[in-house]
Amino acid sequence: MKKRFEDKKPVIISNFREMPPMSMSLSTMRWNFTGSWRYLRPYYDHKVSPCHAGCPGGQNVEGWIRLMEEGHYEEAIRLLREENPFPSITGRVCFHPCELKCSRAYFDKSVAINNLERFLADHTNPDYKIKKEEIAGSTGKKVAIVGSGPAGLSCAYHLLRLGYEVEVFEAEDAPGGVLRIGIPEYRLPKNILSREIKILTSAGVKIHTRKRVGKDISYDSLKNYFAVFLATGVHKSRRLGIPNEEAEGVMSGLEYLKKVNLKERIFTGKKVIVVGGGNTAMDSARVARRSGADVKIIYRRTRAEMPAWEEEIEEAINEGISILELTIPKKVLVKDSKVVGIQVQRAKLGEPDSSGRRKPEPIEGSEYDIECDMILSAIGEEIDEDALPEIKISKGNVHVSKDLSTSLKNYFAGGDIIDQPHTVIDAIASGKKAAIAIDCRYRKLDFEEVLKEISVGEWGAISMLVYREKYVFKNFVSPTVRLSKETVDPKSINTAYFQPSDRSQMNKISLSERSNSFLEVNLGLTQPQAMNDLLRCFHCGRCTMCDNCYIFCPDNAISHKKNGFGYDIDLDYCKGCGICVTECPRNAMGMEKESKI
Amino acid sequence: MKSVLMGNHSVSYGVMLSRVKVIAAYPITPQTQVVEELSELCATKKLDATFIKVESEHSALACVLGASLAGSRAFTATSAQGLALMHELIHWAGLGRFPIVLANVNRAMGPGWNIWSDQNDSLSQRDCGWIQLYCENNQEVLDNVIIGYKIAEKVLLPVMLVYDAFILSHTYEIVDIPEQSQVDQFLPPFKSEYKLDVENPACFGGLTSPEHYYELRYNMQQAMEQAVEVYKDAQREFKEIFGRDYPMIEEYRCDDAQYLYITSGSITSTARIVVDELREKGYKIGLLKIKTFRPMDKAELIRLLKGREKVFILDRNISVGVGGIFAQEIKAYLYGQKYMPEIYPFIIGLGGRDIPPSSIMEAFNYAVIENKKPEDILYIGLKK
Repeated sequence: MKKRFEDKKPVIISNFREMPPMSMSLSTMRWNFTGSWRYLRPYYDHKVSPCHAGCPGGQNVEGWIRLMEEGHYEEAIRLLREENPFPSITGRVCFHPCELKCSRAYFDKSVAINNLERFLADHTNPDYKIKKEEIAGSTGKKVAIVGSGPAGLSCAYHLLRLGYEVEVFEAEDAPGGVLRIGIPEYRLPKNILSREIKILTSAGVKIHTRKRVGKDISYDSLKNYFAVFLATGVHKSRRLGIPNEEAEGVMSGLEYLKKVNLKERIFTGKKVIVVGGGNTAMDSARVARRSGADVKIIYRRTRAEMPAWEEEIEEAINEGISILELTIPKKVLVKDSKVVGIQVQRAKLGEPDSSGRRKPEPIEGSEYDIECDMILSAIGEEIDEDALPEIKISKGNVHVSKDLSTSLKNYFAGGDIIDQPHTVIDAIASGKKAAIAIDCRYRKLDFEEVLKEISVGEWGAISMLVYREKYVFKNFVSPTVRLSKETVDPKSINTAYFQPSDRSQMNKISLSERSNSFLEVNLGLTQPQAMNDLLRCFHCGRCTMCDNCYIFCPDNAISHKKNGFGYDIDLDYCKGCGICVTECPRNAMGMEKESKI
Repeated sequence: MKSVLMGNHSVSYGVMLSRVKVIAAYPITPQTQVVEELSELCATKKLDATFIKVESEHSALACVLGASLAGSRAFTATSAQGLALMHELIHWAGLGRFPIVLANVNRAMGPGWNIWSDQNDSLSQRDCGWIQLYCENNQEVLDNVIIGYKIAEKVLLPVMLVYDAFILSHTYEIVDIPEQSQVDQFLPPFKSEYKLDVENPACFGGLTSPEHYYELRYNMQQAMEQAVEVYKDAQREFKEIFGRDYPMIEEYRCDDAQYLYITSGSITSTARIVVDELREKGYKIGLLKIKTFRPMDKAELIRLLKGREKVFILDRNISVGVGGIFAQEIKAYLYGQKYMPEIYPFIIGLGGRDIPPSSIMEAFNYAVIENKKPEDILYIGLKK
């Protein structure tokens, strides 16, 4: 039988003899340019994945998960480190707000992003090096950084890569700040911390330890630096404000953690009371428990109002720590100037206060005593103004403008001393933001304009990668598809294409292994567990070339790009039905009105 | 090889001998053994075919149409409500010119729910472009599967093989099962000119504008008209090889007959006895058995009826509002012809009511002995 097709030419049948027996195509429909019917036009669109926008540090989570899925671990960690220098650390201690935003959380359970981050960091070359070509041409400028916590080191890392000479001043014996002295070893082993810091120092970041600025060296001596970044952290505990607080055996949780972390000699009581419901309280309690103490946490409100992360509370309880809810400390009981107990009062929850949490109201006559030989107070920290230069303070925080600049000329600030959540990732984010702000001054860029260009989503995250590509290396290549600023709404995911699946659960060491030991509790994901969760990612707003659009297009108007990733839409034939957009599982397409002629 | 087979198994053997490649069917009383036997033939590799299990008759026919369009000889079987459920695709098969064979066991349509013999199920599909072959016995059932594919594939029209519920479907008779080699000689492998072919892609059954639809239907009518000669050729060839023949209109003692019965299906056998009895009594009576309902051999019909006095058409069906469907059809062919007999259209045996020779004799008594006039509809066996 002869070839039926004659392209781009309609077949006209003039009599019944020419007609085939049944209705069948005698040519293609290429002659019929159905594109002219269209009044809506589909397009491919890179939207912002909620995890990406939801990370205060602006990590391109979807991006590195995709690279991991494809087996490109080294590329994945390089992409991750464009925004965050410490994946081994955040992979362990981050409270992972990204997972709250994960679209999968609205379907079954969020992807185990935090655990995957740790898996990636643990399964790539431990001798990671910052490449020479990542470091921008020298600016010839020096920046001083006060404090080597996550904010300070993040700022140092990013400034180094932007071409600055960076000097970090640290008061303690070793760098790391809260990562070293605040977070217990069972959550963040010291060798992991040292390994991450070494990546910075071997690339040229100078860290001066035992140099408390304002004491060992003066703030005045920093005046020749192009800029100073203040990231001293908060080390002053809020006082309990009850009688006999000065007695022997009463101590702040921060102080206690610091001493244990620095392996100083410290007496831990047999019966320890921890006051507070935050992460410092949980850390203090769990450390004291590891030293063999019987530990009780007393908290004014209930577990539901505790600011500590749920996982920490759960582990504390697992490890045998009891929590006394609705319990207000009234008086330290003392004998021979030593703590022998604490008087507490029962409370009930009243109306919500300014923080939105229900206020504890003491119950008259419900006081009783609890026997103890040590009290650790962990009801919050505040800035130590004595450790800072003369600088504007507002509402207990160092006052900063949008670009993190302070009232002092050339001084920027970040981390826990400014008004932001006291978390590692927020500290890292502020260090990054300050680095960009400092670089904007050098390059004479309008920071606010820059911010618009490099923002990720609507929740304040910014991208260092985009900043570097657009303003430093000037090698930014627009993607072949539209780059949308819109963050994907979990409701826009076409979940018909996904099967519910279990989230991987990390293995932990047994409870018996935890007593008298600071062994890391979480063991990390196994390879199959990691693969499981990698494959659970929806890749919100990002094409994976799943071919749904290509398969569903009723006009064959969608084709694979000849070279490279993605699809072409033949607008001569696309009649704008929108099936491709509807059937895109991950909202990586959009529809818009055809422009009016 | 002679064997004792029920009508349903006769179909299965006909399908096997026709080397059908794809079977999709959904069981329904009284067709079930057709499917059972075919499934067994496939499972034991006696028949090298794909047996597709489906969830409904609609799907069954859809599968068969797909297989046929892909170039395979395909088969399905059903009955009554099952055929009705296929109705949309019955059109698709006819208008799309699919050369398939469907075996339909004649069963009354419900409600009232009824599983017994009645022709309304197949006859209600008469406008869908199918060739319908009505069978009198199990040998005919088997042979007509093979003949069915032969003509379907020549004229590109689907063939419905029709036989009576229980009277044939579940009744065992001696059947001569033809040799495979002889069947192969009669029925070569199916070669489809119009099929899905990746080398030469085309779309079938697509949108057809008013500009073209009319010609498609005209060509279909032409095909149905050609089917008369195609059937006769196939018949001739079949007789040469197997020694049996099934004329489109079979005559029985018609030569000098003044009166004729016209029948279809298994009633024919009973009517033959009635004819013999009346002949013994000296009446000049014969019988015409209508084998094919669409196409009708009009010229032959007119030739055979010309000059007769009275014709009694027995319809085991009723087109409500008009009457017997065979009678209606035959009357239409005779309109305007000269020397035509009086037509007595009888409705008989609806819903499987038994038709003994005495019932058939009633038609003769009414028209000849009592010498009554014909009416639009006459009823035999109605409880009055």
